Amino acid sequence: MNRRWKFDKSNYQKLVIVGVLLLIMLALAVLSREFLTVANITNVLRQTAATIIAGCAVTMLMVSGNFDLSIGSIMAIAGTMSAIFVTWGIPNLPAILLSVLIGTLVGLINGFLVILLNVPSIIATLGTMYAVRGVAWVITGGNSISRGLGKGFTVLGRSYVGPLPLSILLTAAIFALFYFIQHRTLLGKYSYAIGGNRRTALLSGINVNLVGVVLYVLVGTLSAFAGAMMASRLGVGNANIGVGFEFDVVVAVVLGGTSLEGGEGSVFGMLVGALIVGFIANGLNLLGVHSFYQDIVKGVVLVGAVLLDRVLQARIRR
Amino acid sequence: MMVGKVVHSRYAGGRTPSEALLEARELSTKSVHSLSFSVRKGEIFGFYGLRGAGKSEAARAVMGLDRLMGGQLFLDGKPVKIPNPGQALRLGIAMVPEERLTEGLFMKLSVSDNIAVANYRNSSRFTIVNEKNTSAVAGRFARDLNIKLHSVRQRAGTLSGGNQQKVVIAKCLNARAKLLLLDEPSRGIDVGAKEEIYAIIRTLAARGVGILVFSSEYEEIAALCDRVALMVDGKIAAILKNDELNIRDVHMLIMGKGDVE
Repeated sequence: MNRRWKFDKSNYQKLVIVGVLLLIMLALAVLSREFLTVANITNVLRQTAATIIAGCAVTMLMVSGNFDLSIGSIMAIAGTMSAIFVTWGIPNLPAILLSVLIGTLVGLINGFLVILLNVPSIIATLGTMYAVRGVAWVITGGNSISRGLGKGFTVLGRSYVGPLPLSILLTAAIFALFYFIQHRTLLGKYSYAIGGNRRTALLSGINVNLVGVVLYVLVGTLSAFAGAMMASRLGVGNANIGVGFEFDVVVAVVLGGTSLEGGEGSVFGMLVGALIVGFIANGLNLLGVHSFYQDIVKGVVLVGAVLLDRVLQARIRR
Repeated sequence: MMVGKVVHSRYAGGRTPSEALLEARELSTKSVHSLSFSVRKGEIFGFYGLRGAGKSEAARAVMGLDRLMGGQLFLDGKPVKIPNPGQALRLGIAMVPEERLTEGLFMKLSVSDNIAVANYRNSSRFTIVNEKNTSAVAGRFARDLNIKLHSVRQRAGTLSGGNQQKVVIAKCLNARAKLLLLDEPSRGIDVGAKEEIYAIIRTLAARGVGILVFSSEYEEIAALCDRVALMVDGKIAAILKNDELNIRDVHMLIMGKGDVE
């Protein structure tokens, strides 16, 4: 009685995407000697850390049928503010927490606009995307904030715990937390329910608005944390951080099998999707392919993966 | 007029009346006007009328889906306010909606998630869901209601129409409904499954659940209901006991008085 679910569509999809990741890694390992080294893999993981952190919350938001374009801008404001707070003499940890709180606030504004005022999510978050980055430009006056940051500022992004980078450990912890939230908690269950069928969710007594706002708040909070981490890795606060980053996250989430209509998807898929994008970019770098071509590859991979998924799905649906 | 193919099952007789479970006094929304009726524990109370007569809207008024413009609901004799379906569920009122696909089920979610969704209170702690519990509960309902499935982890969308309807009923029962609203409970369901759904409804009534059936099928109403409210233009034109039902008179009434085809 319990065997058949293993061949359920979502499990099948995960199998396919993990297969694709392994295939890409295998190909790169054959093509480049430097690829399969601890230093290189660690480097890729550090570069994809921000995508994975923000992607955890974005996956849940997109599963619930909503969308957020302001992720990159939230990263920028959180990154610059974490640096500015430090220059004000606030210690590093509280400075990070305060900058994360700013992201929470932007998430709350997004949630308020989309859920309570019924502004379409693309429009509302496009608005905050521009406005929030604008604020970051105004605050910094267009300058990089690097003076007076001290060594402590780079701890979050560059330090090691034993052999492992702190940023990767934190990313792993956040991923584990969100894997748990998505599959084992009411917030996770309700986000699938709302994305799957909003009217049924309402009739089933789910507080659809509350769940929607909470998800936007989570996206804002995690994007801000990713921004603070990136500023720390770069050792500078700059309003230019995370331009176009929202699309990196969306690519990872969609590659991971999350439907734009909502109702299905998983943070595990997003993780694999982020790694696919990260490894492809890294591999092309190692092979000496110009970054202009990398964007072409990224685009082709995204559309190709979604098409592949469609074809395979149609085939197994006897 | 097209009435009465075959009456598959007959009305099995009334149950002993007990105290009123839900009473509506002069309930009005933008589409229904001054509805007054009451349903007792273990009673099957029907709403019959043409399409557009306001049956679904009467259900929506009780569930808190449409804003009340007047009137009052009483549950177990106490006045209650039901501003949304969540509150209705907390009070023990659940609905099997007319549109199974768009309002009743999560097609992409598992059967166990579908059954658990309206009541996680008993299968979660600190918002953490106990999957063993939800699977066990779903398994119990699958046996109870004879839902045919491979596994409770199966997607609800892969079940047949009749089995999907049973999942929606199971969801309502799992929410500890003491009053169950069924809007067109057998629409789009094959004949065999229809009989099963009727049997389930009768069993629930026998266990003391109050039941409101909203239907535009005369046979369904006649086979199930102890009393029937006939709806015309968003109003209750008459409330008849089952033994007072007469297909000719009923249809004359719901088509508008004296208007015989």
